[in-house]
Amino acid sequence: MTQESQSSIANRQSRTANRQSRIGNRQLNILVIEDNEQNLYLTTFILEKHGHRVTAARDGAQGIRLAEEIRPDLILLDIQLPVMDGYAVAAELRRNPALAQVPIVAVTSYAMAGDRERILAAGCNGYIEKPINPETFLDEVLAHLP
Amino acid sequence: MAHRQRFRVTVCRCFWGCLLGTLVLLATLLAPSAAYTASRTVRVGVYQNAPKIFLDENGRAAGLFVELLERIAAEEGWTLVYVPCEWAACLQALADGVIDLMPDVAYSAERDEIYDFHQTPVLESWSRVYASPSSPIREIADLDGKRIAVLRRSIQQTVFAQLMEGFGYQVTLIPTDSPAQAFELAAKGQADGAIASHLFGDYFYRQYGLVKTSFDFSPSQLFYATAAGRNADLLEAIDRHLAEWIPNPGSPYYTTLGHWTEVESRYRVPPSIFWGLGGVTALLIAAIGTAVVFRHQVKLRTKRLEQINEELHQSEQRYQTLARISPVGIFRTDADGATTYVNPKWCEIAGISAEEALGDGWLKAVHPDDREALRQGWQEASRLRRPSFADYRFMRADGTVVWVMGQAVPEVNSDGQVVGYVGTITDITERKQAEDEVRRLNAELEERVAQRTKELSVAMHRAQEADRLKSAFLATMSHELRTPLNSIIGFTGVLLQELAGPLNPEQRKQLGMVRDSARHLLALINDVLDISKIEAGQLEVERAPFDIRAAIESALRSVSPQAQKKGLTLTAAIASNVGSVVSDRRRVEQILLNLLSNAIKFTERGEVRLECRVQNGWLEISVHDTGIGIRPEDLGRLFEPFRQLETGLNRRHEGTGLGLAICKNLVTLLGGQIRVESEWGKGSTFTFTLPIGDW
Repeated sequence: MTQESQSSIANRQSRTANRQSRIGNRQLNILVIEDNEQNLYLTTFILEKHGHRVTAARDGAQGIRLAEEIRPDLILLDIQLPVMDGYAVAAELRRNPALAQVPIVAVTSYAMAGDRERILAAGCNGYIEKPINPETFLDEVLAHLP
Repeated sequence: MAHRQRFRVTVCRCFWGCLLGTLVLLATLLAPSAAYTASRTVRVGVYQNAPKIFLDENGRAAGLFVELLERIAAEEGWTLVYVPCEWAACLQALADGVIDLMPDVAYSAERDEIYDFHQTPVLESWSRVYASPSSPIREIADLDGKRIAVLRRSIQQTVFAQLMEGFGYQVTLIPTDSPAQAFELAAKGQADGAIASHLFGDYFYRQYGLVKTSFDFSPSQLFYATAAGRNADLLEAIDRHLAEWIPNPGSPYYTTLGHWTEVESRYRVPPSIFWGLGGVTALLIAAIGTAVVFRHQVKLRTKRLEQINEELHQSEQRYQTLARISPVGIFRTDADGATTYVNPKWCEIAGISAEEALGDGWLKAVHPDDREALRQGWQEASRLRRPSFADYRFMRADGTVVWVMGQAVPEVNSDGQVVGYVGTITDITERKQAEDEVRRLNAELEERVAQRTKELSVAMHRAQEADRLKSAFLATMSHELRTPLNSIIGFTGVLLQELAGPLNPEQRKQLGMVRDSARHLLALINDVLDISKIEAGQLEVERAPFDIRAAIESALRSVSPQAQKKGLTLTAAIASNVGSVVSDRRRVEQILLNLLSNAIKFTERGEVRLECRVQNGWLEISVHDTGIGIRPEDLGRLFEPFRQLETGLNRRHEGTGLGLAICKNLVTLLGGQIRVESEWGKGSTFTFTLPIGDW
C-alpha cells in the first residue's frame, strides 16, 4: 500500500542518524546474493553510494563459497534463487561455525502467509520485503548488525 | 293348597280337643280363685292390627286380644289402661316398663330374652303374602324383583327376608308401621304386595282390593307378653284363664274368637297340630320354592343351551361361507401341522386340489427353492406351538410362480391346549413384482447417483486443482510483478535522492510521477493478493498484544500528508481507557489506513475524525468524514469486492475497489464487525469493533 511505505518516515530518519553514528563511517564488507540483475545493481548502487564494499553472488552455491572466502560483515540474501533457494542457502551458511555470527538479512518479494516465519526459521536475522524503499533501505539493513 | 290340608287335620283332631277342654274346665271350676281378685292397674299397649287389636273409630281399644283381656280383667279385678303406640314403639315401651302388658306378641327365642310369655298360646297365626291386583304374584318365583310391604321389626319381616335370600331372589322390603299401612301401599300400587298375618289379611284383603296368594310362611304362636321378670302375676292369670277356656267350646274364648275371625272354625285346634302343620307348611313351601327355583334354572339353562347350539350352528355356517368366498386362501391343520382343510381360494392360488393339499401334500406345490426352508420353519413353529409367518412361492404345473404371504396361528381349546392351526395365504405376486421394480429403480437411481457423484468429485478435484493453480499463479505473479517494481521504485528513489547526480526541476517532477504510479501499482498488487488469499481462505492473522493507541497514531501519521494536501482537518479522540489489545497489528493498521484514506479521498472540505473507545469489552473505532456520503441503495453492496461506487469514464478516485471488502474480511477474521452509516451529500461514518482480549 502506498501509505504503508510512507509510514514512520520521521521515526526512521531519526533512527538512521542514530545507526550511522553508532557504526561510525566504518566501511562494511557486504555479500549480496541476488539473481536479478537490475535488483543486484540497485542494491549494490545504494550500498556503495553509502561507502560500503559489495561482493555479489548470482546464485546460492556461489554465495556460500564467497561467504567462506571473504567472511563478510553482513549478507543480503534473495529467497527466490535458481537451483538452491534462499532457505537452503541460509541453512547451509548457518552450518558453518565460522559464519555463524554473520547477520543474514533476507530481501524477498515472497509475501504469502508464513513466509516470514520460514525465513527466520531458516537462520536469517531479518526480513525486508521487496520492493525496497531506497530512502529507508540502508537503515533497515544496518539494523541487523550486532 | 297348604292351608286346605291344615283344615283337614284340624277337623280330624276336634274330638280330642273337645274332650281335653271339658276336663280342664272341670278342674278349673274346683280350684280356689279368691287370691287373684285384688285390684290392679294394668297398662296395656295398643297398636293397629285389626282384628287382633286396634283402636276403633271412637278411639277405644278393640279386637280379639282386647276383648279376651277385658274378660280376664273383669274376673281378676284389673283396671286396664290402654296406651296407643306403633308396634315397634309398643315393644320398646314394654321393655322400658312404660307399659305392663303387650298383647299379640309372637313368640321367638330372640324375644324370649327380653320378654316373658305365658304358657298357652292365645292364637296360632301364620303370615301370608297379599298381592296388589296390578302385579299378580302367583307363585314364589314371581316374588323376584318385587317390592313387598311388611310390618317393621316384626317376625314376618325377618323370616321373609331370610326366605327370599335363601331362594336367591331380590326382593325390596318396604317397612311399615302397621299391617294396615302395608295393605294401603299394596292397594295404591306403591308396593307389589304386602305381608300380614292371615288373621289380619283374610279379614281385610277384600276391603283393600288385594289378592290372597298361596304363599304362607312363618307360622307363629301369639301371646300376651310382659317385660322379662316383671308382672309375672299377669301372665299367670292369663294362663289360668286360657287353660280353663280353650278346652271348652262354649267358653268366652270361643265367643270372642267368633267376634273377630271370619273363616276360623268354631273349634279350637290344639296347638301341637298347628306346630306340626306350621312345620309341614314351611317344609312344603321350601320344597315347592326349591322345585320352582330348580325348574326355573333348568328352563333357563335349556334355553341357553338351545341358544348356544343355534349360535354355534350359525357360526359354523358363517365360517363355511367365509372360507368359501374369502379372497385369501385358508387352511387348517391338526396339532402336528398336517393339513386337514383348504378352501377353494387356497387351491386356486396354489394350483393343486384340496385332496392333493392334505397332510404334507401342499409342500409339493411350493417352489423348489422355498420348499426346504418353509418345511423347516413350519415344523419349528408347530413344534413350539407358535404362530408362523412366511413369504414364499408356489410353482404351478404350468410353470407360473405365485408369491404368497402366509401366516398361521395355533387354535387353542378351552383347556389351553393347541388342537391345530388355522392360517391364510394371500397372493402378493403383484406386490412382489412392484417391490422388485422399486428395487430395480432404486438400484438404477443409486447407480446414477454414484455416477453423478463421481462426475462431481472429478469436477470438484478439477476445481480444487484450479483453485490451487490460482493460488500458485497469484503467488508467482506477486513475485514476478514485485521484482520489476522493485527496480522501478528503487531506481526512481535513488535518482530522486540524487545519489546518481543532481536533477533539474522537470526531471524531479517527472520522476516523482513515475514513483507515485509505481507505488499505486504496488498497492493494487497487494490488494489483489490479499483478496485472493482471503477468498482461498489462506489469509492468516496473528494474535499478539500491542498498543492500539500507537497503531492509531502511526496510521494517522501516514495519512496526514494527504489530508494536509486537501486542506482537511484530521483529528482523533482516543478514550483514556484505551490501551493494549490482543490482535494483528499489521492488519489493524491496514484497516485503519484503508478507512482513513477512503475518508480523505471522498471528502473535499471539512474534516476527518477518528474516535476510539472501549464499549462492553469491545474496542470500537469510528472514522467519520464530511464527504460525499453514500446513497442508501449503494450501502448494501458497499463491502462486496471490486465495487467502486463511482465507476465510468469520469472516475475521479483511484483504487482497486477492494479496500472495503478487504477491511470487512480482516475485521471478521479478527473477531469483530464493521458497519457504515451515511447520509448522501453529508458524510459517512465507518465503525469497526475488535475484541480486546485473546479470543
